[in-house]
Amino acid sequence: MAGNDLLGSFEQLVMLALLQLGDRAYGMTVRREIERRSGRDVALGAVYATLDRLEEKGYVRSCSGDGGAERGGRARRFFRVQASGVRVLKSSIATLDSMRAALPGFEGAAARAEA
Amino acid sequence: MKLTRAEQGLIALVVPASFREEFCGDLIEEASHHWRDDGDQRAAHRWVRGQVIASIPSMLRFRVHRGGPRARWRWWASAVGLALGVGQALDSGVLGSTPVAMALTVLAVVSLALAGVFATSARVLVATWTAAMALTVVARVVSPVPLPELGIACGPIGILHLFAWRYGSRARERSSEPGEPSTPPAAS
Repeated sequence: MAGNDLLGSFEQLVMLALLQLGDRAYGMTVRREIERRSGRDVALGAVYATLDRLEEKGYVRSCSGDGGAERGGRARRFFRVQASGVRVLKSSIATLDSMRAALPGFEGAAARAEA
Repeated sequence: MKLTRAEQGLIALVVPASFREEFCGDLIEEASHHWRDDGDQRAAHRWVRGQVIASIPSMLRFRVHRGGPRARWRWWASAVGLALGVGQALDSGVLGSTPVAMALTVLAVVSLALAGVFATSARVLVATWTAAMALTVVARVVSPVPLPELGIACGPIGILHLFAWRYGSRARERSSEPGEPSTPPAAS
């Protein structure tokens, strides 16, 4: 399934959040984890759309869980990263690292571009 | 904390049924945390509405990618309808009218375009169409300058949406392309 597929930046954030959260990974916790780590505002809809796309590609799998009183009894949908998801995530990060390594003096170049 | 009727309606319009329940549950859970931390229920409800509105672009892309032929027809109808509505409104001279008349016209045209993509039933589409036509009538009434052509701005757009709805449904029935379900698959 993975092939030469590379994940987009938000897809990478979602996958990393899923790995970080483990068994506690569902829409709300993923959204909060990304917001906490990246410092950017994240819409819950963006998280769900991304999770649905990743599931369609076979990189994550979901299962329904019970909802508590604090959510009006509405079900939770837990997500778990699959082996193919880990592979494509590693490949995406490695590609980015490789591109960055190919640019000698990346930090200096970046600082000059920002100036 | 409970979602208001308006919030539930907005969510029903924006979020696909395949993960609407979980989406609502997540919003309620996190908004309850906000309410508990800040002690401000209104702020929690504002946060919920902000989340739903911020989710619109993602949900639009989701519907286009996952909706299959029906969504494509509706997407095209909305884009053409929006262009027609804007053109007709400009042609009627609404820019020379009052801000209230302009706002009503914008609301009518944009709500109809959004309903073209998001409406979950033909009934919702027709209701939005009726409301949009009523808004243009009010805009004509409150406008100090005559806007005779504004009255027909939403008529053809509504017909276009209904045509796209009907034709899109037929296209969905004919289509058996794998990986292009007409509605997103249910959660496993």
